[in-house]
Amino acid sequence: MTVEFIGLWIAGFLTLAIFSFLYRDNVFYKIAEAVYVGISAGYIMVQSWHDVVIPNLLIPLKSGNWLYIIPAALSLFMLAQLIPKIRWISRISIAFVVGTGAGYGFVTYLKSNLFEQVHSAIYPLWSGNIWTSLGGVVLLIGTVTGIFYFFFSLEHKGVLRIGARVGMMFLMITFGASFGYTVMARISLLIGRIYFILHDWLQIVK
Amino acid sequence: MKIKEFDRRIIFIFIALAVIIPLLLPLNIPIPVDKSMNNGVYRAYNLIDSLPSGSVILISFDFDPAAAPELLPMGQAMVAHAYSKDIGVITTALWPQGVRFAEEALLAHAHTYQKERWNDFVNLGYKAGGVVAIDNIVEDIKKTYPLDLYGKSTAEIPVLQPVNTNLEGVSLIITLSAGDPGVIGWVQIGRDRYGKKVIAGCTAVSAPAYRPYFNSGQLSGLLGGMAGAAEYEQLVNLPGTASSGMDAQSIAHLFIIIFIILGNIIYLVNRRKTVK
Repeated sequence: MTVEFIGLWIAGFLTLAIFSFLYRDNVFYKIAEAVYVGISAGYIMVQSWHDVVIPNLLIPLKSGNWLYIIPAALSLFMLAQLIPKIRWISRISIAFVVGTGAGYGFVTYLKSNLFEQVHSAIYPLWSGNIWTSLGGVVLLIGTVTGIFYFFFSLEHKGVLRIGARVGMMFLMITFGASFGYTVMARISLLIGRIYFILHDWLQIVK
Repeated sequence: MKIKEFDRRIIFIFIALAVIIPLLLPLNIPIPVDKSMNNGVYRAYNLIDSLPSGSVILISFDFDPAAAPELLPMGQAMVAHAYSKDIGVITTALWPQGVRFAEEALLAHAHTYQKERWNDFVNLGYKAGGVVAIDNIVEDIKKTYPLDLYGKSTAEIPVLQPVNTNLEGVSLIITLSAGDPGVIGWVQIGRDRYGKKVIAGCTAVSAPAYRPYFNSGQLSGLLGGMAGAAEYEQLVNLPGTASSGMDAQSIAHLFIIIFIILGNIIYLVNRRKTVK
């Protein structure tokens, strides 16, 4: 009996145990849930130790790079969350992470998500191709009326009301498309697990 | 009939059967591929296909097992496509569990195309840090990864020889992403800061959110969910798990549409009765 064989049966049992929740909450589901949470936490901790702490902190410190004491101290400050009396110390690390993230990401985020997006939304309404031009008109109407919908400084009456309603329709179509994709993603997960049961575990499907 | 009294477990049984039966008895429903440049999958395929032999591409496996049914088939098909064109493949991972999927994708067709580790492909492993890690990878990949997954010095790996700082020598970046870090980071750093071409493979849930990046040209290709993976498998003529899963996907969708219509009819009938 190989390790792979045992692993396969445990994985099969845990998959069925998780699915059993669809019938009702039960002890098998609880066991699988606890195992999942425990193993995930343990796995991430070991992975972080070997792939983050050792190469990015311990090895540089061992080679005499004492500047790395600063990130080491900031890491230890985070553990102060566990002691209520000195919990405030962890705010220093959190402030550092948030500040660095905001400063680092500000320019790149603005460029990629604002300037590039606005730039790509501005093009001639007539491009020489009927379908591209029609797409441009739809994009223009959708963008303007979508903004109308979120414009709350004036009461939605008259032209503003019509615009806001058209904007709402665009939003609904967008949500519908997102919902369709979400269904596809969830069914894909189900297919993945059923395929595992039928192909890898029971070997019914080739 | 009252919707509130309806036992939803009946729906679960129908959906389970809709998935299990097509997997046991494949229907082989055709998977049509739109071969126009508006299709992100075809554009991605076309871009890889147009690369000359000897080029090098970087594929980042930024996902965990939950997204594997959708993203792993994409990775396998793209790696196989690269192998068939004699294109070198470098893999990285911004998610810890992405490493083993990178390994799986690299080895799936390596024997068929007679590709060898280090000469034709290399798995560099996981790197923590999200966007900062992406920045470091693009700026100097060999400095960021002094060793590959198997402990070999990256300075001595043949497939990495043409690669220099700022990913000079890498023709294309592909990210197979289930969230953050992933597509947005690669677009912000790889494309918008360093001008590299970026292709994204993402879960179906996030595909609509990344579509604007494809429309703006920030993404040179976009594969969304199992359908995107299946289309790519069809283009490279290597039907895999995504293609075989599309039968189940189609039947399950059909059932969901029927349930939505039925639910709305029952709701409208009940509302009319209440009004009366």
